[in-house]
Amino acid sequence: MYNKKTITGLVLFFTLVLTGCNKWKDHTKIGQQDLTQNLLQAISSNTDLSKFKEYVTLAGLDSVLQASKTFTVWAPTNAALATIDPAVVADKAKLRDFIMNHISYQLYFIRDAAVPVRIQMLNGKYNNFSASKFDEASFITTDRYVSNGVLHSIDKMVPPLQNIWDFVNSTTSLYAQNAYLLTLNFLSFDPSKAIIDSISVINGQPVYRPGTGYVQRNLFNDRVFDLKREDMQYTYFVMQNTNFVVEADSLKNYFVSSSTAATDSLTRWNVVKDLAYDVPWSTPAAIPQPLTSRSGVTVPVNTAFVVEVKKMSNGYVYVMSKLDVPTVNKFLPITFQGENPSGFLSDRTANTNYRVRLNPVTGINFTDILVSGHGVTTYYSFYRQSETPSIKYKVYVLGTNDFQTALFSQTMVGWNNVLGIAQGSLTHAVPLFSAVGAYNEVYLGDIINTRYGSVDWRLTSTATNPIVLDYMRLVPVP
Amino acid sequence: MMLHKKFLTLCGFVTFCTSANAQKIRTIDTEPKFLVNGSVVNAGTGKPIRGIRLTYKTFAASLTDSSGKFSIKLPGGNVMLLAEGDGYQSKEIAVRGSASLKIVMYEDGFSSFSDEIVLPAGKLTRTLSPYAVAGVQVTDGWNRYGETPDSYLQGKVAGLNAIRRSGTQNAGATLFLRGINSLYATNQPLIIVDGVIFNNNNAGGSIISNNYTNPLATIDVRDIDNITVLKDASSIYGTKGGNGAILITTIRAKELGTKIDLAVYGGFNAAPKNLPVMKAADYRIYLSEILKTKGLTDAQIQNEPYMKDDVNNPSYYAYHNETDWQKLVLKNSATKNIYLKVTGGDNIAKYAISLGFLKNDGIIKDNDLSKYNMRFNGDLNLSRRMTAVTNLSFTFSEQNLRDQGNAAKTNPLFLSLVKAPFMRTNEVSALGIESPTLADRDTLNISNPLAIIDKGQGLNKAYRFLGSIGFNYEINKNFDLNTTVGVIYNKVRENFFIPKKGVTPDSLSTGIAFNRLGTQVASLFSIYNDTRLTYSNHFTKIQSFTAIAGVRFLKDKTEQDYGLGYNSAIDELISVGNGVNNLRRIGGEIGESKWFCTYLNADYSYADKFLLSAGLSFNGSSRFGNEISGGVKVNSSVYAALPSVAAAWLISSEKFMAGNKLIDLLKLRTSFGLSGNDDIGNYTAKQTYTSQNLLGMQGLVRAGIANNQLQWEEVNKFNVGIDAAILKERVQFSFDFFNNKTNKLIVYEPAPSASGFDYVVTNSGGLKTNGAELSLTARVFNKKNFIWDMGVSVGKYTSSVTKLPSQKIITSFGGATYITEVGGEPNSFYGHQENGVYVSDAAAAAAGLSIKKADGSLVPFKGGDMIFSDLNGDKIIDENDRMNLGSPNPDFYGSFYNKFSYKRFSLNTVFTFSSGNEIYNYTRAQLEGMSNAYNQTNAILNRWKTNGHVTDIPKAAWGDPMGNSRFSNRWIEDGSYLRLRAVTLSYDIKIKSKFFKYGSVYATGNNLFTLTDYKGFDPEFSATESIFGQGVDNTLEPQFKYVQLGFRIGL
Repeated sequence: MYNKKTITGLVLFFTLVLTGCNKWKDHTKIGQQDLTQNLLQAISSNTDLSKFKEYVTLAGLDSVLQASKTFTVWAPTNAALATIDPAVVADKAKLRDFIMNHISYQLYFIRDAAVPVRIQMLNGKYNNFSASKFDEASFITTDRYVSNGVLHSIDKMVPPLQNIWDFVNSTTSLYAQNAYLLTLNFLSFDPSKAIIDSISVINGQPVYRPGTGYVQRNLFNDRVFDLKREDMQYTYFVMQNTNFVVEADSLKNYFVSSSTAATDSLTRWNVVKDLAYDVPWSTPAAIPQPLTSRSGVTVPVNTAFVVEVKKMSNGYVYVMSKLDVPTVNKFLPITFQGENPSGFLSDRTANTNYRVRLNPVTGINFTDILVSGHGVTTYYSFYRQSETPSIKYKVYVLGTNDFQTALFSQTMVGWNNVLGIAQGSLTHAVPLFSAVGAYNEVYLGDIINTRYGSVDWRLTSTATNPIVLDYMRLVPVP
Repeated sequence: MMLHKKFLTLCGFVTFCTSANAQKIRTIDTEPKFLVNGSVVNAGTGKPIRGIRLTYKTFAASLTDSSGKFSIKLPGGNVMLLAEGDGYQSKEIAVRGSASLKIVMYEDGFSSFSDEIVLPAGKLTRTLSPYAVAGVQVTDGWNRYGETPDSYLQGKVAGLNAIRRSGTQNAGATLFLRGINSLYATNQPLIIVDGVIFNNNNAGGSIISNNYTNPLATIDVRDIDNITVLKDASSIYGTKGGNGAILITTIRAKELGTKIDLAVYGGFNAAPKNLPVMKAADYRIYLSEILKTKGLTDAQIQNEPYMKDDVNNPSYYAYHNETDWQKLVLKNSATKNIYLKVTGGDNIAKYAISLGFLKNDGIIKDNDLSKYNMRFNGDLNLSRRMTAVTNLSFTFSEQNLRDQGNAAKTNPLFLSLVKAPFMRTNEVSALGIESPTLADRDTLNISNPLAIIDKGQGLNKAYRFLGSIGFNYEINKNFDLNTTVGVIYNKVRENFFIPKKGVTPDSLSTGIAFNRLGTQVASLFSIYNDTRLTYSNHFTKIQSFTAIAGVRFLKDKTEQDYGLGYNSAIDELISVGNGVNNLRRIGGEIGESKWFCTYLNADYSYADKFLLSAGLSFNGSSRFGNEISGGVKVNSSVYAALPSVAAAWLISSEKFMAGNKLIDLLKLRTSFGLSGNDDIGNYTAKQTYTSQNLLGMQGLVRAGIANNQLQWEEVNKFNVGIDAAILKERVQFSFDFFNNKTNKLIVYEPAPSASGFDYVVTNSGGLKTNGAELSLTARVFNKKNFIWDMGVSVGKYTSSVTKLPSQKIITSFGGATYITEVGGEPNSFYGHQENGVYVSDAAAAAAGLSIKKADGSLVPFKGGDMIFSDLNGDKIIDENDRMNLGSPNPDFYGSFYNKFSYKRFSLNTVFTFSSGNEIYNYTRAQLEGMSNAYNQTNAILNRWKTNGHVTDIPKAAWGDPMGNSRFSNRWIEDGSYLRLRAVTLSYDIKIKSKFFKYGSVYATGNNLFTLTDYKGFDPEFSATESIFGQGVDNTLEPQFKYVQLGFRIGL
């Protein structure tokens, strides 16, 4: 009788002990079967993804999909992969690149793509992901979450594409425009990439190992858009050779230079600088009219001349048989504010006033420069314009005498620094503030610059008279 | 003057009563003497016992002969005989008018109502006390050496809820005797050690986070002879007795012969089982998700060193590990203990000396405790009329500790849970060669717990001297004059150091704290005197009367001085003087209080059948305000006058019970009285100033509003109970029902804003607690070789607030919020109610709930957020949607034990339980909150992923912008548990040697198993003394299993 009691007691006891241990087991139990699997297992368990699984293994990415990080996989179905290029399958590096173009880090659920997002893939390329599309593929299944990521299956494969800069590099023989772009390559020193050999005992500066730290850059990438970037999207227009030359040569007169070669280079630059945009227009119809380039030039794109649209990993390339930008659009008016001179004849800081004045006509404040009592004959301030085309400028100025009763005149001189001569000078009487129209800009006349390059616009006056300038406006007339 | 008058009135009353009785007595006195014949047998064997002394007070005595027979002449048939004998539990037998008695006696140690208890007025048996008292005979102290008196009491007394503070050695327990009587004043019962009030406050607190220097730890459990717990209405301790009293009586020599006891022990502490936090792989997946919600780009995340799986990466080995931090912080460890007790003496002087040494390594790596204690108790017969007792004890302990509780940057246990498992303990080279240097805090800004343990310091040195001397002068047969003087000197010195390397810096108001240094000295000096005149007399031999008039005086003086330093030049400079000058902080506190109490007490018993006790005390205290409206005013000082009365009727002693074979004892008792709680702050009633720093200028500002009407809390106590023993005492039980009502409850009343203060302390609240408790013991089996005893004690209480000056009071502690409102429990958790997780964005949109940001904009809940109940229906989840989530107070609590003896073996098991108490699992809130880089439990593998995912774990979101981990019932858990608190197997060795008298070996297992659904290390902890803070699991050192082996020999 005792034994029975003891046994019952013991059974009860151990049941209680075991239930006690289960509190965490129940609490930490994985609620869904899928969460005990990793991505590779999830892919393997889907027969429709057997080809993808096979290629993943072939590319040596199976270990990646089992790693303790988070991934999103857009796996093309067997049907989608039926048309894969055998050359890709045969080349492990290419296959790896291909597979990696379907996998990203982190979790991307359909929920996260309510607003379309662009996601970097493991191969560094970006793909677009929206609630209904992955690049151009549609979803077969979505949002299967497993322990280390999420799996979507798609009906089309998304092979990796080259980017626009790769396209430029690979088509130099085909397009003179692209060949020209590569002439803008230059080497530059980047200390962060250089190897430090030692620290100089003389000045404490690092001494870099010779030959290290040089990186190749390109003027176009620096000044227009960096077409190498994968995280941005661009549209790049490339003109077929004939039209490119015509377009460039039409600007010859405005870039008169020391040599024909230099002129050619300048004209070409002034064509290509307006041919890249940081908006991806996937179809000609999507291109707004007219375009305004980064340098402010209005570019009318006649889509009738679109020869081909090429999709790139970071945008689109439009091959154009003709892209005619009216010459008048190419040259933009330029305004110099009087109070921002590039320099002076000599140091007269004590006589130089940067003033805030009230325009009594408009009631709006303006700032100008006034140098008076400087005691220097034909004293001037100058406003430097680099890369000035060889073109005629209409010169407008605004300067008002609101500081003395004596009347005086001042002169605008266009001084070409390349030639070392004045390109013309225009004198005008500075109106007294009380005169009618004293606060209106005055057209002084024209100055023709005969040589491309740096021009200083000098503001000077007779004898030791003062100079005063609100602004000066130059309107090019091609 | 008034006091004097009252005293005279009382004396008059007493005289009247006695003379009235005296008339009655004369009639009884004429009755013939009553002759009783009987026999005494052993309860186990049924054999007669020889040499049992039978006595009735000092009037009659007899001895049993070899056949166990006796005969005795008594003054009447309605008295109570006392049977005593060596090796037997003494027993009181109501004669009930029967001329022939058959007395059954149990062996020594048998739990009985005839056990002696120590009451403020003197020693008594429980049978003859009209109060609700419990006596604990400390017989098992020898095999429970790791306990402190407070933790030892756990499960011993029905109605005393001892909640162990933590698993740290010496930490002891927070004691709640009959629940809650106060909100802001103490709820701890008064502790009296050998007649001296024992200051049990952890004065000044500790500079080591959540550490508690437990004064009771200075008393070795084996030095205790018995403990009496006075639960009800005695007013004798006046304004200190509001929470009941625990009277501890230490060892005394009982015999003249020299007796030496030596015990040696060794033990093993088992590290608690790990909480199931994620391993490196799952953690890294979680981390990559949470970092994304922080706003890091995919590339930035992949660029983190722990994400780069290339072995050639120089930081590969530092970030690709599988470190079980919990295993590195929680360690198995050992204990050792040696204890010696010597008793003896002659008829002039008797002494009891004890010496003990304990070394107990904790379960946190490198935490340990060394304790030395000694005691000298003497009893001196100075002259025929003059006796003296002395009690001297001294304890010194040295303890290595580290921060616990809410110290996220420096609590090694907490860090071991949250630290990334892929991190490494030590620095490592690019080639994977490990350095002996510990790793610095990691890139996720989490401290290295080993740096805090190995390079930090946390030292607590405490000593306490408690000395008392008492004289008793017998003026004549009826009058005794007695005085006791006690002195306590206590000092606690603490030093801590947190290194710079390996630890996340802390921000101060004027700088960043890298390494942190601190020192503190807290001291207590307490002097106590109790002088009393006792009158006792027996009238007509069946009535007895005792009256006491006495005065008590207590003066406590505390001082606490601390210095905190920061940013010493190197981690090797660890003393506080090395800190940077302008960041150093020095402070302290001085407290002094005086208490003066005049008390009167009268006990009357008629024929050991009707018991009556009345008491009255007048209390004056330096803490009281001088404009108190109630009380008794003497010379502009207000005294608290607190009366009490108790009565009992021993039904079983009535003649009509004479034939009753079933009932041995049946007693009804009731008591009502007033007592008080003077823990209202030493200076709260006075206008005080405090120093304040304003932009580098030091000045004094008012420290609050003086409330010169501030007074003691007044606790009305009503108790009704029944004591019974049946079946020849084989089954005994007590049942009590009580109702405590606190008036003039201290409340932090909101002050008008024009005053410049947030609150003023007033006596404007009310609280009531009622409850019941049951204790039952039974001898299930009683054979010569096999004895089985069992017992149960259960307590229950319900507290509710009856009066508050404001609608409700909200209190916060460690992330938990409590509500106190009229009609509710005083400390209910107050938070949001969650109902799972929104399955999808659509489901969340359909519910239409939002949160309101600080700028007033609404942010709607989305898929994967928690569904919180919108209680006020305004579609915005904010603090107005909180509700009562239950309280940390148990529905019932208690213990049960079984004790088996077989020949020389005995097996003793004690289970303790608590049921229905709620716990806020702060630790789990941190481990499943998913708002930062803390490692989390495996439960969050189920975190919500995307639309359609049905789960109860929300999505991971850095910083928790939607408040998914806010204080809600998601973190409230049932804290019920059933624990095998102690199981002891002992064996008495047969000793033939003349040198050794006896010997026994023990094996004790503590906390061997705990049944609970609570998801934490352990459901038992008490982070603070306050009721606002109970039930918050803020990652304290948990309870752990430990086993002790020992032997004891007697010389």
